Amino acid sequence: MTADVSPADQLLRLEVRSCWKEFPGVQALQDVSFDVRRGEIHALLGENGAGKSTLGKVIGGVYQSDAGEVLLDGNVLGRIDEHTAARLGIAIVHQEGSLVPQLSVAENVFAGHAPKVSFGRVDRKESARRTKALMMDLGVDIAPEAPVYSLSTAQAQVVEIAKGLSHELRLLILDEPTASLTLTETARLFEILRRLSDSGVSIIYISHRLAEIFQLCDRVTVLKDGAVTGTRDVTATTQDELIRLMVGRDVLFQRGETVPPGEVVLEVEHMASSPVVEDVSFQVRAGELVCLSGLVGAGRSEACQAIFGVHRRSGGVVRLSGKEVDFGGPWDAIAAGIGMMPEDRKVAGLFLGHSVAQNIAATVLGKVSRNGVLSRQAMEDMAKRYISDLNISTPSTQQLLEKLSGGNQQKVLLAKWLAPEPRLLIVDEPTRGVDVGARAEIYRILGDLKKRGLAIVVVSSDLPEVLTLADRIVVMAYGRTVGELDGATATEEEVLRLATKTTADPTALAA
Amino acid sequence: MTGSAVGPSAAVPSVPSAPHAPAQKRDSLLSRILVTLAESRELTLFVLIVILVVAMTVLYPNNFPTESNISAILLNAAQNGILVTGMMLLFIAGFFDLSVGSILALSGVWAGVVVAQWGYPAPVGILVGCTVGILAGAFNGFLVTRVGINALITTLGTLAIFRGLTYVTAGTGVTPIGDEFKTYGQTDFLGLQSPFWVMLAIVVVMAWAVSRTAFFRQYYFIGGNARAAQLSGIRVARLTFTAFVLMGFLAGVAGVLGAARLNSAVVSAGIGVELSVITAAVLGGASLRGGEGSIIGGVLGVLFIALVSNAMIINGIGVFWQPIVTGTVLLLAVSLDRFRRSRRA
Repeated sequence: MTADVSPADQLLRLEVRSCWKEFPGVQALQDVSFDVRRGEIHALLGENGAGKSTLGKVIGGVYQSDAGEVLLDGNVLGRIDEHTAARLGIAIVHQEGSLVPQLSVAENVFAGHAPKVSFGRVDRKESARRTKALMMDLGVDIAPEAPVYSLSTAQAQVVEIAKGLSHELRLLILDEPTASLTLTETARLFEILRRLSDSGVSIIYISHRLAEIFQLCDRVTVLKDGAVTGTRDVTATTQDELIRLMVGRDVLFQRGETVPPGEVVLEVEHMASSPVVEDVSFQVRAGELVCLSGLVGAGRSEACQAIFGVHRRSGGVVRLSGKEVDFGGPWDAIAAGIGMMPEDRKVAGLFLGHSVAQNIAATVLGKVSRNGVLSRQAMEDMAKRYISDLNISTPSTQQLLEKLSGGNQQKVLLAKWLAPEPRLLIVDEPTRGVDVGARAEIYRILGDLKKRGLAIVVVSSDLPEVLTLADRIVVMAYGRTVGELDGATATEEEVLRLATKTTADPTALAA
Repeated sequence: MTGSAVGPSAAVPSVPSAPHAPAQKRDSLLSRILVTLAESRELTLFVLIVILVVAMTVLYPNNFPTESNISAILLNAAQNGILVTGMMLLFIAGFFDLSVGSILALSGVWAGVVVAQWGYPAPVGILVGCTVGILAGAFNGFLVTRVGINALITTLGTLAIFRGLTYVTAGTGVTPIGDEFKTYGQTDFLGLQSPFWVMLAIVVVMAWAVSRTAFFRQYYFIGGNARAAQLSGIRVARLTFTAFVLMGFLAGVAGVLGAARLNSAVVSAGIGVELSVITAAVLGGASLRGGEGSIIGGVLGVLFIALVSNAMIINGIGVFWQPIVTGTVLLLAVSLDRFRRSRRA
């Protein structure tokens, strides 16, 4: 395909034309089109799971799109991999980082294309000199021979940028670069990015922090559920408009009914747990469902883990039914009547190579045995009961868990945590990677449990889910509880405004 | 898109695989036997052992099925049979122990020194030998669970340390230990010597405990997914420590029995034994990932290896070929497993 080059196109560094990408069970990108001008800092904004990172990875050659095309300086890029992308001058600074910690800064910067002398030997002097020069350009002082593990997160990020600059850099993609930076470090990063854009490098800045976008970017493209909801000039838009573009969608599910709450089951007062949780206070009553809401990194999961005894608390008080508790580990929490469904069922929740029956019995081995001897019959009976109660679709109790669908795995995880009959159930991301049907069922089950008098805490990054489930919403930001909203009347805008409150103050970033 | 489990590799087969679905349907007896055989490593091994025994009996009726040969095979299998029960438990939990041979020698030598040089009665020597094993296992467990060094490195280090301690303790060994002491290793019952009976008792108890008790079942969860086990309230660190201690104790028992059987504490006892025990465990269905395997499988693995080496000695192929055969059988067994897995997936 030959692109007809008009003068306007010549100014475009990058053009994405109706790009589609599907992952099993998720349409990650739907007909996404946008463009980035030369020397522009262009923000990609959206909620968690909106497809921002996926889009960045498609452009950077990490993922291949299913359909659509990407043009760099007017040339169509075919199927490219990361290596080709790097050669073409596209660099990604990943959320999780792509440096080898044991190697030096210089070795990382020139990974795969180090300057050579005879016999393919690496010219260490030359690569050190050029690394030094790059660092000077970026205005930072990092020794080329320092091993990467000795650097701070912020310094490592600069090294990643330098790695991009070691090629002829045309487009730099940054994925949530400030997630683990301090405000001063953020300000310095912004300075570097501005300098880069002045020299003609285009930058795609992926973030869900509104304040940063107003500080740094020229234009912003908002994604929602994998589709573009709008592109705006930053000078011509407002926070409110961007929030509307981020969240404006149909509500899929009916709110459950509220039951009159009973006595206070869980009381958390000024709880701290280093390094993330700083000051968390909230209460949950019997028959009440409280959602912990906030941005990724706000410390919600960590707070739950501190309550459950996974991490030791460094301060504050936790009371269970009025009695102060301090658990030595999850076993104590379970004995006291708390259950916690962890966020990532495959990594932390389930035994994929074990049967359904064994998975459900894992938390209650004592219950299904007599005098320490396991009763297969008791295990079977219990598994069968939960399979019918929760409507788990599996050919038998002996089916290996890895063969079940995501939704059914999630229900087995729920069964595993109902088996000890807790009075407080903490559910971290109840419906991640679960299809719509199973999602509705999980909501119904949580509603039933509430009616039976269980106190429930739900952590969710999915705002519509929070608004569907919550009786009360406790919002967290930067390791602190920053506010509470009534679940029945709250709007997504209100929650987001609270969750971004600390960063919404532009003067805080200018410091 | 933070952290969600989407990605090309996250594909989960949503439908249960078709061949297994109609479990109620009646297959022919033969095909059912074959399927069960292929699905269970224990059965495969058992059938192989039976075939080997029958073949040897037919081919060498004068040498193989004699009382003295059979009792020699079983006596030789006693040491590894004891060790493999502990090793299998570690494998189930996702660990292993390379230092078992050194613990075995150290325990035997301490039992010998206490009895022969310090003049204590034999039961005290046995007690000391087993305690040395327990302490050595506790040291391994401490390094793995508290200090956080991985099991390979930990036991590679203690393999050397315990062997060194053995030399330091007894120089060239203790011979003879004493007449009272040797009765514990040389008493006959039904034509078989005591080490075999001790092994049988340990195997029966361990096999029952690991397959049936709630306590030992926890090890399968630890090996299956240690993080999930921890979050399910299973005390992962404590149980791991216990498994290493148990391994040390069993190596101590094997060491003491070996010393009693020879009436001599040999400083080079058990060199290389860790590899044959690990081979037997893997043959018997253990995997480095953890979460699978059974005590019976491990013991059958030991028996199989003992039979193969006996067969090779009898038909005169020569000892040099023995490791080649054992290694080949091991790789074949594991390849078969991988093939089956990949076909099922």
